[in-house]
Amino acid sequence: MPATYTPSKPDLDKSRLHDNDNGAGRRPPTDKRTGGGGEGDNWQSRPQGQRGPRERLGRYRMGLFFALAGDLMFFIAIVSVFFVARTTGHFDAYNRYINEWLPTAIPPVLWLNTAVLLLSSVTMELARRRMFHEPDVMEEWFGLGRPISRRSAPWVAATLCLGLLFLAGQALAWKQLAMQRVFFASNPSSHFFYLITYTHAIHLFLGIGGLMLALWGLYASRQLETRQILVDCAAWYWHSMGVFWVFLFLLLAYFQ
Amino acid sequence: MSQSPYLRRESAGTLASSVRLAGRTSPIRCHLFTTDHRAIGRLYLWLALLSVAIGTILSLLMRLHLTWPERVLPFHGPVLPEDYLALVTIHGTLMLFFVLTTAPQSGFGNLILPSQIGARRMAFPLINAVSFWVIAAALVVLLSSTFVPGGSPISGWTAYPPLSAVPSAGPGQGTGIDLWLASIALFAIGSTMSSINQLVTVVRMRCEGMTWGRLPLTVWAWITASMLSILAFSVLLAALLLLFCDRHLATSFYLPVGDVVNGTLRAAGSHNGSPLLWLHLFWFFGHPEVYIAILPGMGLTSMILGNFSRRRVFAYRTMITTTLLIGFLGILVWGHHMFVAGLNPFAGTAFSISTIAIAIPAAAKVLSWLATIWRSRPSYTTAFLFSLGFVSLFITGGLSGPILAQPILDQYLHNTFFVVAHFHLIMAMAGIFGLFSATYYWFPLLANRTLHEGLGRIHFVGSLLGAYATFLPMHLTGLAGEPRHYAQLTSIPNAAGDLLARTLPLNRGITWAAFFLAGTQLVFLANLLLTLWRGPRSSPNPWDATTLEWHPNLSESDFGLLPVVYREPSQYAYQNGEARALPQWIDPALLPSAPSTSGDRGVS
Amino acid sequence: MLSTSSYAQGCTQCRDNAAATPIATQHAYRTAILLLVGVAFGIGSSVVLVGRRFR
Ligand code: HEM
Ligand SMILES: [Cu+2]
Repeated sequence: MPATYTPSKPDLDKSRLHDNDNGAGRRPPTDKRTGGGGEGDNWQSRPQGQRGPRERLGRYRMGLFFALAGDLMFFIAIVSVFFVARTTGHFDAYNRYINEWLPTAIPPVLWLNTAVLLLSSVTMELARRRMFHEPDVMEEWFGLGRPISRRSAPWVAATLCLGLLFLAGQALAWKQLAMQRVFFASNPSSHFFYLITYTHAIHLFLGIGGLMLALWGLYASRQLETRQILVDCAAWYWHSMGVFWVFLFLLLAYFQ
Repeated sequence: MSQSPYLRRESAGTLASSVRLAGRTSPIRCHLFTTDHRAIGRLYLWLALLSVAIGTILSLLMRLHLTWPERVLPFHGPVLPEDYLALVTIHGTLMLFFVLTTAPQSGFGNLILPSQIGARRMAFPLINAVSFWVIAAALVVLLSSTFVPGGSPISGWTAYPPLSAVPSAGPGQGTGIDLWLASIALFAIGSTMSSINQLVTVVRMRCEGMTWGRLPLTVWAWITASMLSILAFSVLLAALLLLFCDRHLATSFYLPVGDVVNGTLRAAGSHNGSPLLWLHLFWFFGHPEVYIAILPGMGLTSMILGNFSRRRVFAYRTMITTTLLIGFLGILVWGHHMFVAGLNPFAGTAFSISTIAIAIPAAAKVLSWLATIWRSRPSYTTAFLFSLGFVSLFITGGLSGPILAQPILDQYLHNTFFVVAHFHLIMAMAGIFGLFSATYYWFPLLANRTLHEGLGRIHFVGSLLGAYATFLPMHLTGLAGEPRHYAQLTSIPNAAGDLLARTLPLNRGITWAAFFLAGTQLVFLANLLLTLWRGPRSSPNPWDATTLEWHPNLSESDFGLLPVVYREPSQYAYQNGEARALPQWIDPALLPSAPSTSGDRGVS
Repeated sequence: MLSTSSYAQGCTQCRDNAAATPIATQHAYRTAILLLVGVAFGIGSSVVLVGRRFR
């Protein structure tokens, strides 16, 4: 048994050491099912770490989806409590059954906010698609500037603005309710109104953080794949928050 | 296969690619703020060891107080009822969250999982490190609750409202339980992150040939538990948030109207809630949580029994299915903790049926364990013995499950020590035995040394006797009516007092047994320290195991090619009565003669 | 099975409490339970299905 360690050839082969085969210096970072080696050379059947330029992206995306699944459970838990609390009452001293639930009137601005959020999902999707636009990817790969970042950044920025607009709209709604003296503690239904809108807003703040990170990455990151990951994950997160909001909003608007 | 144990030792605990810089990086950076999964796994184990030590001491204090209540603790004074409840709470929280959830799932999950699937690292090393530090912060927050005004919370690991929602309910229910909430919320976030990491790692980073059907059962257990973690901890987080609102934002999700706490009627405000809601949300988390604690042990038991009896794991495919089935059914049964809480009888019946249904895959597992070792000639290593102990404890503890699962019987048993006996045998003891089994088995990978087998056997026999002597009699005291979460058994001046007084002799026995059980663990600690100090170097694959974590080039090094997997784990070639291991990574073409394996059906 | 188990809640307080729950609330609990279970199962099954795509 040798006590000393002599690096052998595969040890020195850097590409096998690290799996960030980002494609930058090798194959174009586009999602082709074959690695260019002809028949049977399918990236999916290669060992992990060698499955082409989308491998890292797929990993991050999957991680995000698992996280979103957990997040969905979080909101579902709150929604199921909502259903129960809506119908729960108690017997008062005269043995009358009292249900204190008084529906909270939805400030109309929420409709506008919803539209803004949906619009922001559209801009985000445009940004995301831009990241994978093949001619641009090839252009960057050939070394002809960074058209991807250039074309995608405005859409990310637009999403960011729309997101902030949505949050401002939410703040307006809270203010309007406060002026009608409806607060977090006022009524079982207002508990839920605020709880749902607050937790969703916190999630959107995280999303805004993600968008800012993506925007920064578009300028700062040299690796195309890193940029793709940042924008792609921010986009999926943003879309999910949009979908969650639509459900939560419908719940508040029609099921109180 | 050429081995290089020295290489493995040198790169231990650091990012192997930084080995070349080892002279320059500080040890703190290498061992503490590392993103290397093995180092993180070790940190989790240290965290769990610290927690289990504290938790054990607390449990001994509880036993002392129950049996000799008039004793005064040094540096403390008499043990007040709230002190006892604080002991119960911190003991339960530490053991369940910081020992039985972190050590098997995150500790060994990090140490072993990547190499078992032939990956060099976890999918998200940075997130992995962050989740450890979040969990470490959770531990600090939990322990700090003892030192705030009012002291530790007293509402148990389940924190039932309204007591947990009302600060006037007891001394620890002010700042103490706020810290508890913060701690558990942090823990939930940290565990979710580490579970996401594990799932993605297994789905996307298995090496060539490692099909789903060839994954070791440990890995199946880890990912099932991860799946449960993601679902369950999110719901717990929502429940904690609502409790926080009830405590500080004047809401009443869990607070009923006309609630009398400590003799005062709480103001009638808009209290429209129901504690039942917390029970639903908490146990939606709580039951999967107990499976998160035990699943890794189940997977490991299958693999170890197979390995040391030189057999295939009996009904491998079925064992994968039962693991998943236990996971899925585990989501369905939470109501069995609520039979006496005013649950709708129809719901009670439904939960009772689903609970008894979960005994079926559990029984299938037991049958497979027994069939795997049946009439084999196993080598009785300590790891194997602890796995046998796991099976034994799982059966004993499991038998009381279907009894408790019947609402009629649970009516009487719910708040008694019978339940304490049930879950300490099936979860606490079986879980700990699983952990010991893992420690003895994987220690060569942890420290490149083998733990002393003789001391290990003493440790095993002592632990098994101690476990049974401590927890079996609790069934009897429970049946006799001893309540749980109850600080005082003596000098109660009525019929109940007589009843409790009659359990005292047994209770004294339990306390002695508990001390014996805890004392036995000193043998383990001694073994651990002695081995780390001057234990024998282990050979690279001392147990002649078949799974990838023992692959000579993978274990502690980042170098070399990724392995390729050719078969299911625990496969053996039998030649004139001798079983020869066929590790997963050995190319069939390189085998000397065509071995007579019992069918390789590893393609999915 | 149904009848015997259903009478399990012998403790009158709990029984009365459960029996006094209005139908609407009982319904709401049922919805909530099914919602939690349904979504959790949905997520679990889709993870299994997605996993199968990766060999
Ligand atoms: C055969 C399968 C099982 C059945 C039928 C079963 C049934 C039950 C029932 C009905 C209860 C509620 C008792 C009560 O509070 O009145 C219970 C409590 C408990 N079970 Fe099990 N169980 C089984 C397996 C397990 C396993 C595998 C674990 C953990 C690994 C476990 C851990 C627990 C814990 C921790 C509690 C008590 C929680 C508490 O109140 O603090 N059980 N079990
Ligand atoms: Cu349970």
